[in-house]
Amino acid sequence: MKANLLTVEDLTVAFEGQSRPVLSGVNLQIPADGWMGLVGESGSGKSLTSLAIIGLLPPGARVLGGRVLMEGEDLLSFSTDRMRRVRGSRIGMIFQSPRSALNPLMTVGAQIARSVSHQTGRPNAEKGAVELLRKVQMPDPELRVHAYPHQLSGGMCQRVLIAMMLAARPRLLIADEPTTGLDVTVEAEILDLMHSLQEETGMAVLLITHDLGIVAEHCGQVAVMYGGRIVEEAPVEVMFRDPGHPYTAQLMATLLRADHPADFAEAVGNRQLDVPAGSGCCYAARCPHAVPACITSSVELEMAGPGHLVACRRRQQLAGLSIDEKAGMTRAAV
Amino acid sequence: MKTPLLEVRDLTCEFRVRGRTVHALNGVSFGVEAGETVGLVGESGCGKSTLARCIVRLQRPTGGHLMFEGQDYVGWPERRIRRLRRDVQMVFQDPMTALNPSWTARRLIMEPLMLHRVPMREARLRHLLDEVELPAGILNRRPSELSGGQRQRVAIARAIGPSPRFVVLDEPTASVDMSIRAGLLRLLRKLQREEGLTYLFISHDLSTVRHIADRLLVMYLGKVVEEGAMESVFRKPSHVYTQVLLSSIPIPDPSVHRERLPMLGEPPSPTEVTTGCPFRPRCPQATEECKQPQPYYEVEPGHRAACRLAKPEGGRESLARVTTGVA
Amino acid sequence: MAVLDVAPLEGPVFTGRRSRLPVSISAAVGVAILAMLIVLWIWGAIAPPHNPLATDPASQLLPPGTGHILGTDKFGRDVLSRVMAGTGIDLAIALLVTGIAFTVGVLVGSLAAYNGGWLDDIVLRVVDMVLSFPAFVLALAITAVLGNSVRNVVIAIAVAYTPYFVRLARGEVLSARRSDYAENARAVGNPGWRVVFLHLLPNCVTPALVQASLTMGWSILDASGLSFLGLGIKPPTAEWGVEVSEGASNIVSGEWWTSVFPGLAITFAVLAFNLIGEAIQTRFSRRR
Repeated sequence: MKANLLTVEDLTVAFEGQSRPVLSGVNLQIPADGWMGLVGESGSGKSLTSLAIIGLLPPGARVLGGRVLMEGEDLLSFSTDRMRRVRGSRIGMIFQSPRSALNPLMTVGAQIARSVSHQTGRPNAEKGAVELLRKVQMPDPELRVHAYPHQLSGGMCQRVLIAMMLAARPRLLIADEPTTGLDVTVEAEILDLMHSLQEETGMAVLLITHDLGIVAEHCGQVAVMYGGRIVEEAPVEVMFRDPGHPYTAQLMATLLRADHPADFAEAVGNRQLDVPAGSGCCYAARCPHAVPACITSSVELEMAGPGHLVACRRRQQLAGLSIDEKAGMTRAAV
Repeated sequence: MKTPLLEVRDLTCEFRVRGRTVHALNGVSFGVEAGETVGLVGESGCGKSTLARCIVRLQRPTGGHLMFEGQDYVGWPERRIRRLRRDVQMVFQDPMTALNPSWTARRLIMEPLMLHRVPMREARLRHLLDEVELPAGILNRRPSELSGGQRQRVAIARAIGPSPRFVVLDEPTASVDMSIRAGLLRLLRKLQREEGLTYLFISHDLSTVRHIADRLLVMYLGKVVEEGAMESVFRKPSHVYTQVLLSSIPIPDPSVHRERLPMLGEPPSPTEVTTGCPFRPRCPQATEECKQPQPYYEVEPGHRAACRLAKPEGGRESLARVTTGVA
Repeated sequence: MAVLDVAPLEGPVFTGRRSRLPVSISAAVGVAILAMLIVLWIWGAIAPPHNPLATDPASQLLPPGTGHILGTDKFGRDVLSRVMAGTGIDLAIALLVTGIAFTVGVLVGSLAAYNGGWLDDIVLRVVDMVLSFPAFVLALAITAVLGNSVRNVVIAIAVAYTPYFVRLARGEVLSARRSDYAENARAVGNPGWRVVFLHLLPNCVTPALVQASLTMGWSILDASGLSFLGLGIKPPTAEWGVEVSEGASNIVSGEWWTSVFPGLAITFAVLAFNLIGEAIQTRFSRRR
């Protein structure tokens, strides 16, 4: 088992003026190679976690505690200058909406060249731009290198960003919903491309997404976020076959698979407890198995198996249940 | 032969954008029977949104026929269309932008009831809230004060308030979190039974469509390339594009491995018109024959595809097996 | 049958139009000045210290002091009372002008934008024509043609400012017309006029309100400017511009109070409306 490339330890982030932190004690261990998935719904804090790692938190967000350790050093303690050098050279990042990440007034070739020379210190990298575009499977790279971002499709823009990021050969690539909004055929191409590049360079990928399908296809290890906390971390087969946390179980139970006939999981009973914000399990308000202790006292990630961490105090009692039972759902054909 | 509730025949729609002509629909024909759910899938540029807007006449088609209960409304004036709107409604993709941000939920749901003079509106309002499983407390809230799922349910209540016969759903689960998606689909199915609705469910997400639609239409660049019963199309995808599409869907199961079928070249532009099969430039199996307009070949009763490889007389070449683990 | 989804967990839920921001200082100042002016108006209407039209040859050009807090003008009339009376006239003009320009402008602009076609073309051309003249010059020309009276001044200035509202409303409706909720309103069965007036305009009205506030200030400036030049409102009507004009020749000889106080009234009024307009803009543009 390789050592972790990057470890997020107890990261707590809050916005100014808000009493409740948006990230509370996030713990994440990103292995040195292979793909790690970070899943969660909107508002769970997954994007914010990645921004905290790379030092690009939005204005108004403050780190209240925790560390981000990479190769022995705490990235949160780095100065802005030093962090800027880390970005691109050690950690690369690609985002959703690739076209808006590109400068609309420069050709993509010029932008790639600029990024390359910025990273490697070598000026005049125009020729290398075509090669990089070829590497990311851009059709007609000699033509495209002179194109402007608005002349390219979303998928092509994402390829450009990957090319720009490749030049620096980072150790870790953070991909925040890189294919959301792209057609499924394009998405498949981009992810396959990223996979082959990852295998070639040996870098680690942190894939942030809400799509469990691409997690199942590409990730080896998965972490699940809810309410600003990591509630479970597991190898992907374990996650899908035998999740430990009721929230993960709920995600698995409500999956819609293209290859399975129609049936729906339904919640048993209506759960919406009034839970005061703050201490206690973040999922207690919705959890079908919550007991009073879940609301009052906080819960930590505990080892449930090799590479498997679960943050649930009732983990052992729930261990034998099926996914539907853990999620508190029944299945009905329609 | 029963008249379909909604029939689309040879529908074309073009419009000019920045000086270029976009051929959004190039002769689309299909029918929807009362009570069924037809799923319409396709990727960006295929024309499905334009089709939705033509059906509810937010967009005027440039040619063809749109028939509701046998009456062609393609050329009707706006006043007549407004009366039709009692029967043909639409649920938009993103309720955050589709609902007036300064109106309360009560006003939003009540408005169509008033516009179409529905009797006993208060009672109907309460009934609608029950049907979409929303608590009465949300009535005084504005869309920004509701969760994504609640917003979409308000949008649904708004659309089905005047008891329409036909509802076009344009990606209704796209802006909703995944754990809520299944619940929303179940709700839509329930509403269909209880209110006697007929659905045209438009989506780019086949995993979602699989769970709600009886029949499937696959569109590419303004044409329907394949059409058939859901199971039939999934089991026996006959147009190369359908095969590519099905092979690209990520399956949320780590033990399933699929071989993705590749396409050639780059995504097409709906401003350029191609002769023959619209998929030809990207099709790995294209031949000279594909430059001719392709007729529909029947794969199975009720299942047809406009691809030479769907020809019944042994014209099928071996296609890469798609391992989807069909139950 | 249970449905799982709940209101979002993250952060405070935005609870409607009124944000919890404290009222800005400039807004408070603007409102305070306006309040003082209104007090002056009411006071002057009910119980002014002296009759603003009563001349008193014995008390000509008295400096500010006891009996006449702000002094007297060259006809012996109390400056304070005249300023109070002027408040009523100028604010009334401002209200009338803004009311007319806003109503007519927003109506015409939004209908033109929604319907498009030839109506929109005509409206656009007319608006461009009118806007090619500076507002004051145009008001001046119209007053000269129509004659000097309060009514004509109001008409003239209203004509000059209506195009601003037309263009504003047209621009807002033009962009909102394409929005999803406008399409949804149409799809649900709303006729065009309902879409414009009940759906689009309420969401577009903020810029028009800002413009309205500014127009209040500018119309006071224009009205008093016209009367300063001898057009529009004529003496002995107590209007700020008239007062400034009457007292202008006295400044040279040192009797500054006859012009300065009405002039300050104009300044403060315009300032108040500008501040309020700006406050509306900041407050409501942050809402989105």
